[in-house]
Amino acid sequence: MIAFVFKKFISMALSLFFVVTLTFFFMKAIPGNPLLKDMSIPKEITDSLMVQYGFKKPITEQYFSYLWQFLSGDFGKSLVHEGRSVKYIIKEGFPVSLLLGIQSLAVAISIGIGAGAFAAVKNKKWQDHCFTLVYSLGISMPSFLIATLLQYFFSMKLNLFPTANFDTFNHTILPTISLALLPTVFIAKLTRDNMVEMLQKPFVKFALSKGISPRRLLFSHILRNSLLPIVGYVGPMSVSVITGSFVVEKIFGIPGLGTWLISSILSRDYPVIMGLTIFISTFLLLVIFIVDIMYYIIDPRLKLKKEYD
Amino acid sequence: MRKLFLIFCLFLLSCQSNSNKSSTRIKIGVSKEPTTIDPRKSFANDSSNVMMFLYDGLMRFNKEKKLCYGLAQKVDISEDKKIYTFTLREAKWSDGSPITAFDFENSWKTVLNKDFPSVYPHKFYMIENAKKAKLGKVSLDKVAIQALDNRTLQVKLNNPCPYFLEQLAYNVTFAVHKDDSYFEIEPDKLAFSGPFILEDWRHNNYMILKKNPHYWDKEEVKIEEIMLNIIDSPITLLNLFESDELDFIGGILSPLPYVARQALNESEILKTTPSTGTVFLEFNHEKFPFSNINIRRAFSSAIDRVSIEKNICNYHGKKTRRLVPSKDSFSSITDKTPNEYLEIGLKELGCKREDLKVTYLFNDEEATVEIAQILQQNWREELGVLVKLKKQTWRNYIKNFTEKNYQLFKISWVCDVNDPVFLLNIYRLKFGRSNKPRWENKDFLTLLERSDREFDENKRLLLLKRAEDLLLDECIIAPIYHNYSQTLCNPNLINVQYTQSGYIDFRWASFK
Repeated sequence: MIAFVFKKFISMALSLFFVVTLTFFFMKAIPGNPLLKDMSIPKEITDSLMVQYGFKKPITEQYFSYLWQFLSGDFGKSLVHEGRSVKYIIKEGFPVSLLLGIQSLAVAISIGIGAGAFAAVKNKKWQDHCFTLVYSLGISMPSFLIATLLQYFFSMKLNLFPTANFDTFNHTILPTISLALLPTVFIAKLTRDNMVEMLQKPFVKFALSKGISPRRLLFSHILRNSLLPIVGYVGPMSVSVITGSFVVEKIFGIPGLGTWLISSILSRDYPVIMGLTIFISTFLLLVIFIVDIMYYIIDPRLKLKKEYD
Repeated sequence: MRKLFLIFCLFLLSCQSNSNKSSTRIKIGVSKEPTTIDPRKSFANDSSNVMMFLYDGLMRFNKEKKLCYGLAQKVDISEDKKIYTFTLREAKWSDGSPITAFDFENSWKTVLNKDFPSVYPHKFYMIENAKKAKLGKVSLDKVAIQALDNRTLQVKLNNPCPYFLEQLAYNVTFAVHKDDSYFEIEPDKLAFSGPFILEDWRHNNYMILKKNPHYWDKEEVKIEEIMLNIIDSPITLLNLFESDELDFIGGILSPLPYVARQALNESEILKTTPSTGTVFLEFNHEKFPFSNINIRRAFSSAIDRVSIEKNICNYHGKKTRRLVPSKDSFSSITDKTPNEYLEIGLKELGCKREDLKVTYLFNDEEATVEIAQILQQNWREELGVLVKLKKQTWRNYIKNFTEKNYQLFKISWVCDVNDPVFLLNIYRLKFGRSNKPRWENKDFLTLLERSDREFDENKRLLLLKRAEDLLLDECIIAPIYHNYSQTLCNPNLINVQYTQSGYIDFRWASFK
């Protein structure tokens, strides 16, 4: 187990290094720079600003100095937003994204698994056909469309929820639904398909013939087995949900990380781009790491396979 | 099941948002988070309107849009119109300390410090030695800005400058409190000189401004609190406005959604204000084929300005053939058709129509994209030339035209100050900051310089008009329409002021 964790950890550090390097050079390759704000700024002024921020140095030197800065734990300050450090931006934006993400995840997992299991039990009945219909709709509707529709009907027409902003719990309901819809239908479909497959396995018939109650069979045997692939999906999905969907944040005016990431790229705010990319990728790597360990714990077959090898 | 349904209904009811309005609090939609609230670092539209809530200049605009005294009480101008002596009124910063002439001297000189990252120091370049100091050629002490005592400030200009006072009503010239190191931290410890102070700022979310208890003109300020709601999406802002959660959107603070322009056009509360500015094309006159004046004329005259005025601006932005907004700006002087110009040009260049490979550069705003399509169609129908369209994001776009990497592109100017010389100044010097085509003309420069020294306002405007004629005759630019700004305001909110350059002022606003 320790060797396994150690190996994973090394590979994580390596991936992170590649992310930092690639992002840095790709970012510098985008034309324009954070100081080119307006067309009327005299050249001598942009030039002197370029020198002040160190953009005139060779790119490798800039890279190593950034790497050094990053290793010493300093993400730097925004070049566009006055007096705002990258750490501060993360500290302010991440809790918002985290709250929305966790809410959406809770909705997606609970409703997804519930609906999936229900459809699997009612396999090939009208409930299952309804499920397929809802699934196709949900998977093909982009989140911006859902968000716009929800906003239009529930807040503009029915006046049930606030239109936008991030304030009370009520403000988070519509964004949570828009963010959760896609993962929900995906998880539901995954659960249903896995369970339908499980239901045809010989051990089910065997268990039934031994007189196990259908309820017990469903919950402690079939569902548990069908959930394994979902753990693998939930990991990366949780990252994309938590780090924020830019579109949903934009429509509901939510001050999360997605908004910052996009606006920093558009304004070429180098330290913010780097800081956020590193933060999000570290988060992703950590989640994948945890998922791997969870697999190891949940699925006894993995351990056996190791021993067999 | 029925129970569940009941619970759901109750839940929905409990979610009902109830908006109770107090009559001294306004909510405004803002689309971009201000990048700074330090006026010395301000640059164009971005955060400048918010700064106008927080700071007062030596001058300001009154309710009738006339320039009047702000923090200055009176100004004495010397005979030769070069020395300005301001007497400041007894006013206080929001922390209670007095606003002095030294605050102004320090702030202005900081902007001109060569190490200070200011974007608009050239707004001070009419002051003696200002430019040299910014370039590091002379020390800051040599700059002719001097506080004679606590309430007297003296400034010496290089040349008479008719718009100098008007400029003092805008951002870069606002003073900050003497201790300038605190802009690096959170803004709650700042002192402000304007009608409002910053109370709370949740980034990318909202800003709350409160009435400044120490503002010198506080009797006039009726609004106790302004909530600036920062939301990126124009559609969401419009939705918030329509569900009465915002009192004001639009203009420089938050562009109205372009897709909704037809629907908005029928709305009675839509307010359109013309601004001192123009949307026009610039030709790269150093590159084939626009090195030829007749080709330029052909492309300029082929533009269907009437259709753009109708379809893009809904008749709000006036079609024009001139750079400076005026009454007869659409009158045409050409005697040839676009095609005739093109024929002459092609003959002079010795090439065929098929050899004209033209790319039109524009940025990715919705209106701009539609204009590009109209232009492409005009040029194909009128001249038989298929122009390639190249859309770019803002930073790429700026990079391309700063490096002269274009043949033809669209540009839009709005001036801070309502004076024709501002638009003409773009082309004053070959290597001037905004002269992207690097156009140079001695007569043009002489006319502008003569206008600088001219004391008689009418004669000065005449000189400027001649200079403009010269520029248009050379056809370096092809003006299309004059800029305008549109806003939506709660009908109960009255006395909101709009300046010429599109700024919105709430200091006199109140609810009916």
